[in-house]
Amino acid sequence: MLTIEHISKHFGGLRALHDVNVEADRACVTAVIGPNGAGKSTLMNVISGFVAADGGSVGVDGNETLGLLPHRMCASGVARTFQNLQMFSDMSTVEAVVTGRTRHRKASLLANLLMTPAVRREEAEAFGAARDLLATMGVPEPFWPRRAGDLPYGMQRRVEIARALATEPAYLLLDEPAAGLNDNESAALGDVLLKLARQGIGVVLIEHDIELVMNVSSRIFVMDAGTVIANGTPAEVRANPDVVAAYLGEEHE
Amino acid sequence: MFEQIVVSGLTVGAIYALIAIGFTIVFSTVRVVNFAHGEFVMAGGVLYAWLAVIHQVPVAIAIPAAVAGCVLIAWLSYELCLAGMDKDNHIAQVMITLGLGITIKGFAQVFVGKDTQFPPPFTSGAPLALGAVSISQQTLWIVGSLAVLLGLLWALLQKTRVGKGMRAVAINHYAAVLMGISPKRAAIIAFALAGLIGGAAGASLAPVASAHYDNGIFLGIKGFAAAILGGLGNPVGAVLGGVILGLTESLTAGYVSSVYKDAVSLVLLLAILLSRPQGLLGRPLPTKL
Amino acid sequence: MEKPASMTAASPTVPAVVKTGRAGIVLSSDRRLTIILMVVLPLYALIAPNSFYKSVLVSSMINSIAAVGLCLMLGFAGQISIGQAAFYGLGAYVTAYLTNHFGLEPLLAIALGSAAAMAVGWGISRPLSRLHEHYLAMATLAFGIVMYIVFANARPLTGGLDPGTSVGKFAILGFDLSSMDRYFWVVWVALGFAALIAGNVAATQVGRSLLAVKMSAPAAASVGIDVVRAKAFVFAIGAFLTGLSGGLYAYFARSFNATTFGIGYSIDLLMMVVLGSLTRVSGAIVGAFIITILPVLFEHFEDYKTLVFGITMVLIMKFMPSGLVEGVLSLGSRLLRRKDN
Repeated sequence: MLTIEHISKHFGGLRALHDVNVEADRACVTAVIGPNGAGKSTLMNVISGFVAADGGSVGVDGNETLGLLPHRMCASGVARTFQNLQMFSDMSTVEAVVTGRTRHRKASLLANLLMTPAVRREEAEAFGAARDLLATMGVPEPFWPRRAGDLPYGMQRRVEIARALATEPAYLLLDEPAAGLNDNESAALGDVLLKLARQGIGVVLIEHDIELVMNVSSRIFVMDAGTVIANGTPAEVRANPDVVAAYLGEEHE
Repeated sequence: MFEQIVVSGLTVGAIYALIAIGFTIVFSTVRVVNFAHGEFVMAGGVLYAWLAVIHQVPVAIAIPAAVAGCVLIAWLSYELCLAGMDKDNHIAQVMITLGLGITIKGFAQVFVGKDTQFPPPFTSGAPLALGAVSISQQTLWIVGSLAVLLGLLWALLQKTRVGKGMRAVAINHYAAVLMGISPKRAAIIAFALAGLIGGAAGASLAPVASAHYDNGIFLGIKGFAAAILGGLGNPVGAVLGGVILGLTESLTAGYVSSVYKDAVSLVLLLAILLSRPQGLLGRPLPTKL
Repeated sequence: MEKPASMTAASPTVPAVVKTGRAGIVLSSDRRLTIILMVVLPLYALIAPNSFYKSVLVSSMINSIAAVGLCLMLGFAGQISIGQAAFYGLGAYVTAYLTNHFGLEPLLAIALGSAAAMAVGWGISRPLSRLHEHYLAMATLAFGIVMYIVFANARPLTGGLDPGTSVGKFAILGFDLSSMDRYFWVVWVALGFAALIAGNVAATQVGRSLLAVKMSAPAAASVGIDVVRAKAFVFAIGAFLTGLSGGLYAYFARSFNATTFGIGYSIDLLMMVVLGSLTRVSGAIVGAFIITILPVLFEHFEDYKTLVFGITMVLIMKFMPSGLVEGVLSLGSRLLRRKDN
């Protein structure tokens, strides 16, 4: 269980997050939605360690992770993608995914500098794992040796997810993965998310695409102006008048 | 003695402020850190010396001509090197501006030579005596230029359409473009201003500190230090930084050691970069990894 | 449809992604070029007509080691350092001091000089790690100039600008290796060592992590790369190699003063990497040779050297920002591939 409790964050005078509570289980898709400026991305950055929270706690399968540096979150079992697609553009597609295997590398720095046979074996294994993941994510083979930045946008999104999956996370945080995708690609993404959930990963989805969210999530948290205003199943959330108001802006300008 | 050190510090501070202003305006408008800026300043002094000393051009003509020459150099720098460049390739930006600086220095070396020149002060006459302090006429010119140029700059940025356009580009590049402001025009004006103000700084400094083709790096780095100290992108910060830097340097030279006085600005620069990179008046930089 | 070469080479002992066209690091071709260079150099030394040519050769090799160090810092990790001359000087001065004042074996003195440079590099990397791009460039520029001022003024330690510092002849356990013929081999071994280590960095996880940090530090962190440690590593190894260069330079020049370690050398090193290739070890070596040899060729055009240097820098960065050698090589490989199809 990924538990986020009483998270608050101020940026100067701006209250970005206030007493945010979210729960995400393994093996299902949990979504966080809300109008622009609700604080979803800030929450994402707090959970993944990129932004320090002013208070609260983040627990990953029982371990407190708030305050850990971002690269340690990976070891705690949390992987993420980025809203503005942080791709290793000048690497080949395979290599970009291989970076995701960093956490599982056992060879020491010295061994790498000496390029021992163990290091070569590790490299071969990492590349094998990366190729498998690319295949799973439906990235066609001809793309694999190509420069990652040259791939079509939708493909790069998949590569980014493959990279995150390479870390073998318990929880996968996706920051607006459907941004820039058309309906077909969105639907395909939804299938992938469900497949990942079935494999046991706790998928946490921050999204604007309500249809996608409604189709794949088992639980939805709705944020507005820095707090969680509602949570429940898709049906419950859809019927919630506070949610409707937040999106239509009746109570907030 | 103390008062004289302070006057000297303020004079040098005014020079640093002039150097810093041009540098900071280019940064805020074009988002380029122009490592060649010091060479614009050097060119001001060298051109003035070349005209006034070697070609015996009257001072009243040589000064504006030198400054105009720097404006031309600055404009060419932008058009030939930086226009249309990928803004995100910072390594290329640093290297291009470094190379540009070396090129300008190379031109100075070839066309003006390697000799150190001392061009005449703008007006010759007795220094002003204020109690224990003696203020040379050139000092008055330097501080006066700073005041006048600052005033003109303020008027440009606050009162004219062109200036407001530049401020708009500095605040939000894309919004400015959408509003029909030409970022390229803003960039050209910013570079022209950098040439103008930097050239004026160089020309007015040359009678006091000499004109030499090799001066650019040191002048530039003092200007960078002043600009960053005050907050990169902020002209008021540039003045503040320049004054602080000048005073600190002068006090160090007077009371501690004149040998290490050049190190003062560098140490200050390092200190501010490591503790508060946005400078005294800047907004906190976004924390990246 | 083009079958990617990587898919056919299924050998488990070689990283599968070898030929990737324009993408990323080209691993084995860089290594092959480096080996060719290392073989060619002694051949040239044999046919070199006199010791002047040999000394230019040795000088180029010494600069190559520093260029390789900067290649790792700049090309791989994206760390813009305009202050490498500081490490060059540290290596040279510490080496000289240890051997002059403590009578240490030259080889040991050089090793310790390199270690001293490495320690300083590692030490400044942490505070610098928060700085990016032009702020980092500015900080390294300032650092380099501060060190120059120290070198030039700390006369008891360094001899300053005048009279400078001198060291005795290079020897290993009493065996005199100071003649250019013999010293060539000392530097050749050092260059081979540097190229090997740097090549191993490029070919493994280590280099990939550095590239990841350069291309997207947040993404690198998200896959578990400790960005600060990566920067500390690359500063340490860059400083080590540059310090090693400095120590070797000390015994090459035998007598030197602070003017060698000014900002001019820092910019020369940048040009070597830019001229060569941001991501190839062999490119950095080629770049170092070009930058070292060209001024010698232009001896008669003393006054134009600066101008030509500046114009070249601007042109290369405008039209071939990944490096001249890199640009030429990728152009060549694209032409070759078009011929195949």
